[in-house]
Amino acid sequence: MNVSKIRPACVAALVLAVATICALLLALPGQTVTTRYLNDLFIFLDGVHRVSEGQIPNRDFHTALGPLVYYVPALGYWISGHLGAAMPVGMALMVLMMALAAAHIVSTRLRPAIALPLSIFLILIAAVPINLGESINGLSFGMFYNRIGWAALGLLLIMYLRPIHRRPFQSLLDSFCAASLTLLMLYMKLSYGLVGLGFLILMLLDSQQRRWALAAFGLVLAGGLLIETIWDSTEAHINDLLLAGGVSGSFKSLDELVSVFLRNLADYTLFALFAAFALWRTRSIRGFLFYGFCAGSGFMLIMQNFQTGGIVTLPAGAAVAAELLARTTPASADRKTPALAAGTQLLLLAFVLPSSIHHAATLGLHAALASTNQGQAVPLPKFDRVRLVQLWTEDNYPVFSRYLESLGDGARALSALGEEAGRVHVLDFVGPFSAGLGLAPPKGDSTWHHWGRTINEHHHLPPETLFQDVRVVMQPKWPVEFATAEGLRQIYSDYLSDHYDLEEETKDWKVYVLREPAETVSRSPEDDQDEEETFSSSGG
Amino acid sequence: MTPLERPTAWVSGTLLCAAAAFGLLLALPGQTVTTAYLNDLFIFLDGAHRIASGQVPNRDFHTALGPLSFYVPALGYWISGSMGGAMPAAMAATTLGLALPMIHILSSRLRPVVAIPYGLFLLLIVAVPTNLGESIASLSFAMFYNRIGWAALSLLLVLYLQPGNPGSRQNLLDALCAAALTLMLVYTKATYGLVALAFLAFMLFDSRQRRWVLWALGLIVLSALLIEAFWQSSLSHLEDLVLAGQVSGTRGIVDLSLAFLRHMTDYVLLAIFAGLVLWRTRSLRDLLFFGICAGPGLIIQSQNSQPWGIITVFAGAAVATEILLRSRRLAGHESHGILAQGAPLLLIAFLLPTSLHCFMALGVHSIAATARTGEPFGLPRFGELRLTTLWLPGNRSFMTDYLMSIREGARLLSELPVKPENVSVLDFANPFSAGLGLPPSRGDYAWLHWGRNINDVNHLPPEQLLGGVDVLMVPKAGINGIPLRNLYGTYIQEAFDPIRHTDLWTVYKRREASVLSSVGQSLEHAKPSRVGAGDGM
Repeated sequence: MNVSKIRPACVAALVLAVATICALLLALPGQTVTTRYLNDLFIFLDGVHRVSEGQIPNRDFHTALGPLVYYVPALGYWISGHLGAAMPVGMALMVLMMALAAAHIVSTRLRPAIALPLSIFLILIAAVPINLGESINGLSFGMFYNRIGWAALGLLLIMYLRPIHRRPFQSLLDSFCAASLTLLMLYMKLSYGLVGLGFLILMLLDSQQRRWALAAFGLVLAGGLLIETIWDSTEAHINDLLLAGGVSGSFKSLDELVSVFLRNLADYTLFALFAAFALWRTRSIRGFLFYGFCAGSGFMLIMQNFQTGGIVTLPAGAAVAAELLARTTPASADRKTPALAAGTQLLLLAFVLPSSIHHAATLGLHAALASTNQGQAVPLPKFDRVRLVQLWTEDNYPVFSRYLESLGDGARALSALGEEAGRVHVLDFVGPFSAGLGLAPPKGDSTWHHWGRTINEHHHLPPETLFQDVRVVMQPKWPVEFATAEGLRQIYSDYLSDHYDLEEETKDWKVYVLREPAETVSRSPEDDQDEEETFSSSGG
Repeated sequence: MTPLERPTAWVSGTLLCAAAAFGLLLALPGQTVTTAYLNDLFIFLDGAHRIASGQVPNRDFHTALGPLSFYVPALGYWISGSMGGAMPAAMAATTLGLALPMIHILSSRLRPVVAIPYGLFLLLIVAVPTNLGESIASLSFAMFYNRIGWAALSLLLVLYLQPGNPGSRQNLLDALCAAALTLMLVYTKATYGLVALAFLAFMLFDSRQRRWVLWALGLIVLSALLIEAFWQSSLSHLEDLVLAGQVSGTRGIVDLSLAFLRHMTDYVLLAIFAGLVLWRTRSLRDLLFFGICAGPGLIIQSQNSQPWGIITVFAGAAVATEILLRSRRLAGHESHGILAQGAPLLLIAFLLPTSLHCFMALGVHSIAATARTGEPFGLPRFGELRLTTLWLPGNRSFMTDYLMSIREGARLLSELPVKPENVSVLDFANPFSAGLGLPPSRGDYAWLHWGRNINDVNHLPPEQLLGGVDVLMVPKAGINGIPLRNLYGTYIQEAFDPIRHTDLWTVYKRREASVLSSVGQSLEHAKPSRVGAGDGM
């Protein structure tokens, strides 16, 4: 078993094979199983519904997430035909596409002993349905864009290395890979995209690789312009980002910075070991900048994310260091690989293997649960393949289970409206009814609200904008996120009582319907909100 | 022999200096700063107070923790002379004490590149004043016995290796070290002691090391008999252990697998090490040894109230590194020696994050203690103890509220017209006897942790628990006062009179010359308390 004898083409083939297995595990069962962040999942499914009804992100609805967050699951929906399969199939396609770039990048730049563990690690990051840093029983597609961003950024960072096995059209392929990864990040979540652009600027310092880096810049620019001519909503997107940034984009306190750093102390220590060894050997200023970039950008990203652990830029930087150490090791007379190079490769394996195993097990668990119809289906007709499962411990199951019950109640209330039902907005974290019942979505509203994260009492959309096309407003008594529901009620209650009538009140909902223009009586909504703490969260 | 002298001296010197330095960092400020598990700290201050007043564990009070868990803080109290200096001085003394067998074991069995990082790691595990797996800012001496247990057990496991260059007194010293460590474990916390004994039994199968193992076992039996001759409470200790075991002794498969998943990183690393070794040696004994490092550690960890830290896994990694380095020398220049060369680096990288973390926490405690950070506890004899929050996120009001209630309780007690003789607190721990310098209570539990060493099925009858008490403090909520009140409420109403009543406490005084009738037990269930502490078993 000698890993160093594997040829680059075989490495590429192995990477693609692993990616295919991951993609099949995700896509084949055709179901979404979740134990956490159900509310986050509904954001994406609502977005898929809107996009497939012809709406365009940031033009027809407000969102601080990039347009690809909606188009990737939408692609999954168009292929599979079920909303329940939208997320897994969309992610499977993403994994395959990223694996193409990964195969090119790692096979030309890394020796097999580093290339295989690292690329499998990155592919699993993209494929695993959990929020990074959480345990195996936290199955969820929530914040999937973070994982895609990390994996894409990790791959991009490998391009710091000069290629050892040059292919025909090496520079062309390099620039194409770099540009597509950067564009993916830019239109998935802007913060990752900016880090990607920063890395490309860093690459301009390398005279041997400047060519592809410049070409990649050009391609990114051209791609951006092309997307803008079709999408035509970049400005609206930036406005939405600024709105969210006004709420949660402030600088963190020193306490928070310190505790985030200490939580990831182990990763940073290992990374520092790699960087120190490599710098000791190469003594390059560019190298110093690169490791600093990995450490710093990873830290900034994880500060912005709703995520406790898993700074993927660190293992990627460590792989670069291990490869550089292996390359600069002088070929000694007795054909013994010196200890440092061997040790760092072993160490890199130890660095990425634990989370790879964890993620592989999680992916397998999701596939097993999805193919055996475990758990409780969401009680909305089009969400029948989205299932809530309780694993081992209680976790968030009781809260989400109760929430699902309230959705069934809400669906009955809406069906009582008959023809009038449609263009529904839910005054909660997310509104699952449009997608779940196949109703026409309203235009001009927002796919999700998160109190303290995307909105607060000072930063929110004016009611005239939010409700411009809304006919039915659903006010929950059992919201999935209490603070958000309460905040929205306070902000919009005046507008609601001025323009909408309480049509129906059920166990869990108050249903308001747009008043016919003739009527003028104003009515104030009662204040009998059921208080219930919920566990929900989402990145912005 | 001679070429080995120098590295051995290096190892001994470094480890001794490090142990002294860590000990000084702990003990010199003479203050205890804590941000968490206040209630747990009170158990051991009360324990030190009891021992200093002449009580004997398991004879004069009930405890499922071994007697050393009380004699160690008492030693600290004796050294420092103050309650606030007791725990830091105790842990400093333990760190230094552990350094002695460590120097012998590590320098005779591991080469310096393995011995020094591993030794420093173990010393830091003992010295750090936090619960393993918690944040640097979560300072507390709570569950110090777990850290002693992990470090001593992980040191003992290194004896698996045959000594590199056996000296004339090797067997004698080996036996002494093994016996001392095992006795320390048995009398600190029984779960660790059992694993240590099982390891010694496993070592009997090694014909080349059987000699010292037999001596060690003999020494252990002799010492146990000698201890029993003085202590005379082994049986009642066992009874307390059985009671605690009935309440919280078993862990289900779900708990164990979740604990396994939490330690996935460590296990994967151990698997890499073990894989490298077994690929080379193909020895069943090696496989069993790695099993001992991995398996019992998981059970101990899930018994502990500790989010992370199966330290025996690191022992397995250190031993594996040494085996790899030894086999490389035998294999000479063969190509498969490549990976073995990387093993020390991997080991250092494995040990470094935790070592750094512990060292930083130790430093934070020293700085906070020297700077007198936080607010003093406010009880007369607790002047050198402080509660602070540092930069811990989340709501810390639970601990401050608890401290407020303790202060009010102390005020109530000192206002009593007659000085109480035997104060007991119907809650997690009793901070008043030690804090006010009252005579300690007798015959009760060192601590009561609902769902851990007491529940509504397994508990002492009220006559036994509260029979000798003359003043009983009953908190409104406390740490887990409510379920205890439900359990013993009827007896209290029959045998005691309430004399003071505030928002936080009811003070009861024993009714004079009253006839006590038997008390039925309340079956009302209550939620387990919010503190993960006092996990004695």
